[in-house]
Amino acid sequence: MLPLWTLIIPTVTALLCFFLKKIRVIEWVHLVGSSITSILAIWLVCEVAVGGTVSSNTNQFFYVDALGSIVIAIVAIIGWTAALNSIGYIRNEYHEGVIDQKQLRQYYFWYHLFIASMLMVCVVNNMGLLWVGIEATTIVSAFLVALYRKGEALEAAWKYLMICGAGIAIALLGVILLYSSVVNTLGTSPEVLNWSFLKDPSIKLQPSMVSLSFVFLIVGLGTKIGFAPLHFWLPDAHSQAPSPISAVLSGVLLNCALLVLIRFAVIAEHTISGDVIRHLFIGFGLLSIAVAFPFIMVQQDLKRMLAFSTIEHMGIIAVAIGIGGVLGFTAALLQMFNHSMAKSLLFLTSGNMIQKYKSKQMTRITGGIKTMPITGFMLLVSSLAITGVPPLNLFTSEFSIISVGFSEGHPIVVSFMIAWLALIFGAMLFHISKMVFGTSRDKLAVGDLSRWSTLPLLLPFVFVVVFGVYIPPVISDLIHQAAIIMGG
Amino acid sequence: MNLFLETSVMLVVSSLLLVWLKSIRTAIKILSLQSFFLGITGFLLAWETGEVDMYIMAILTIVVKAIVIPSILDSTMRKMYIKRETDKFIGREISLLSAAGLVVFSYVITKPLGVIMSDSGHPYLPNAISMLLIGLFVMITHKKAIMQGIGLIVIENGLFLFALSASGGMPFMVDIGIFLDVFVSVILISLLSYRMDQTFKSISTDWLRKLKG
Repeated sequence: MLPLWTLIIPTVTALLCFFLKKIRVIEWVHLVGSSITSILAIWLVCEVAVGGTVSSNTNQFFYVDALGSIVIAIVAIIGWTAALNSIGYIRNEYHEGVIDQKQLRQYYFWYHLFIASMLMVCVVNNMGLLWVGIEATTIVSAFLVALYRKGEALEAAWKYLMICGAGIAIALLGVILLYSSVVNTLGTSPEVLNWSFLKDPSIKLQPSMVSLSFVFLIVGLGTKIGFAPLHFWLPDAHSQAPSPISAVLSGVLLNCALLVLIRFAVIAEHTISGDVIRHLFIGFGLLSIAVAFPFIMVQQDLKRMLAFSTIEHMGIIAVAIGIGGVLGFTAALLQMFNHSMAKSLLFLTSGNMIQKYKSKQMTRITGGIKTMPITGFMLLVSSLAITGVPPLNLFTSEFSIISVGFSEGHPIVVSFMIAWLALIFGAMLFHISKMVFGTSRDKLAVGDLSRWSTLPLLLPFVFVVVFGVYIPPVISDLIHQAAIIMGG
Repeated sequence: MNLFLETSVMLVVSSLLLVWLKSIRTAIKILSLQSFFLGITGFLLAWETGEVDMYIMAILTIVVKAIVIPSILDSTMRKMYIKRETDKFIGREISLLSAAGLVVFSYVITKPLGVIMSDSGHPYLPNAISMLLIGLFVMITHKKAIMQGIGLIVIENGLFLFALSASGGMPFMVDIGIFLDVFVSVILISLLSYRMDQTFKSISTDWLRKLKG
C-alpha cells in the first residue's frame, strides 16, 4: 500500500493548500505535507533496497523496482529541498507584491500535484499509464511555469505546452504501436501492457513494428527530456518558472521522462537486439552536448545558462546509456543522481541571488560571495561540481562514463565528449567566477535572504560534496541492481 | 464495415474544414462535430466487438469531447476582445491543398503498416494518420493561440482513432487517463489564451517572440 500513499498524501496536501485561506496555515500544511511525502518515498526506496521489488499483490497496479526507486529517491530529496526553499522564495515574492494571495495558493496546489504526478511515473506498472503520467507532469508544470502572468512567462508556458504536447502525442503513437504489436503476438489481456510482464527478455514482438514504435518514442520522449534538436521549450520554461520549480523541472522531471524512455528501450531491446537503440542514444547525446556549448558561452541570462547546461548533462547521460553494459548503465544512473543534486542546488542558489539582486542578467550580479556568504559559497561549489571538478560528485560519474567508454570501444565518441566538456567548463566558470567574485554592489545589504531559502540547500550540498569521495554501499548496490534491470 | 469507412471519412473531411474555415467559433463547432463522429466510430466498434469498455469510451467521447470541451473553448472566445477570425502564415487555398496532400501522403505511407498489422488493421488507419498530420499542420500554420490548441485536440482525436484501428482501443485505464489529460490540457489552453488576450490584447503568437537563444 506504500506506493498508493505516496500518491494520496501530495494530492490531499494540494487540495488543502487550495481551499485554506490563511497564508501561515497554508505554509504549515505545505511543510508537513511535503515532509510526509518525502519520508514515505524514502521509506519505499529503503524497502526496495532491502527486500527487492515492491508491488501490489492483487492487481499489479504498482510495481517499484530498483530502477524506479532511484528516481523516487531523487523526487524525495529534491522535492523536499525545493519545498522548503519555496517557503522562503514565495514569501519573498508575496511581500514584494510580485504575486497575490490567489497565486500563492495556486503555487502550492500545483506544486504538490506536480510531485504526485512525478511519483506516479515512478511507481505505476502499466506502460500506457506511464505515458499518462508524463503527460500529466507536462500539464501540471505548465501551470507552474505560467505562474507569473507576465508576457514572457506566458510565452514560455505556451511553447512548453505546444512543443511537449505534440512531442508526447508522438510518443503515444509509439505506445499504441507497441501495444498493437503485443496484442498481435500475444493476444489481449489486461496485464499485457505491464512493465512487469514485458520486461521478460523471452518475449519477442514484431521487429518492424517495435523499431517503428521506438523511433516515435525516442523522438517524443526526447522532446520532453530535452535532447538537442527538440530542446527549444527547455531554456524558456526553465528560465521563466519560479526558481524552486526550475530546480524540480531540471533536477527531477527530466529524469522521470528519461526513466520512461529507458523502460521502453529495455523492452525494444529484447525484440530488435542490435545497435539501433544504442546509436540513437549516442547520436542524440552527442548532439545535445555539442549544441549546449555555444549557447552557454554567449548567454546573458543566468537561468537560461543553467538550462543549457541541463541539456548538456542529459546528453552525457544519453551517451552513457548508449555505451551500455552494466558498467555503462551504472555510470549513467550515478550521473543522473549526481546531476540532479548539483543542478537543483545551482538553480536554488541562483534563485536566491536573483531575488537579492533583482535581476537575471549575469552582468548585473557581482561579488556574490561577499553579499550572500552562504548562497555564494554554495553556488561556487555546485558550479564547480557541474563542470566536473574533482573531488566533487559529478567528476566521479563523468570519469567513470569516460573510462567505460574507452574500455567498451567508443574512443571517438568519448574523445569528442571530453573536448566539449572542457570547453563548457571554461565557458561556465567564466560566467560564474565573475558573479561570485568581483566587487559587490554597494547598495545591497550584506546577508543571506532567510533561513528558509538557505538552510534546506545543505541537503543537496552534502550529496554534492560527499558523493565525490564516498558512496554508501546501500546506494551503490541499488544502482547496481538498477543497471542489471537496464541490461535486460 | 462500410459504415466505419464513412464515419472515418467524415473525420478527415472535418479536419480539412478546420484548415479552410475563417471564423474561430465555427472551427470550434466543427471540432465538436468531429468528436461526435469519433464517438459514433467508437459505438460502431463496440457494437462489433460487444465490449462494455468501448461503449463507455464512446459515451465519454461524445459527452466530454463533443460537448464539454467545445463549450469551454467557446466561452473563452466569448470572454475575449479579439477579432474572431483565424490568422495564418499561408493562404487558405495553399493550406487546403497541402492538407489534401497530407491525406494522400498518409494513404501512401500506411500501406506497408497495414500489411504488418494484418487482421487488426481496419480501413481507417490512413484516416487516423491524416488527422494526426493535419492537426500538426494546423498547429504550425495558425497564429492564433486558440487555433493551435484546437490543432493539439485534433492530434489527440487522430490518436484515439489510431488506437481504435491498430488494436481496438488501448486498455480501459489508459484510455481514461488519456481523457483526463486531454481535458485538463484544454482548460490550460483556454486559460493561457485568455491571459494572453489580457496581457497583449491579442492571442496572436506573433507576440511570443521575446525568448530567444
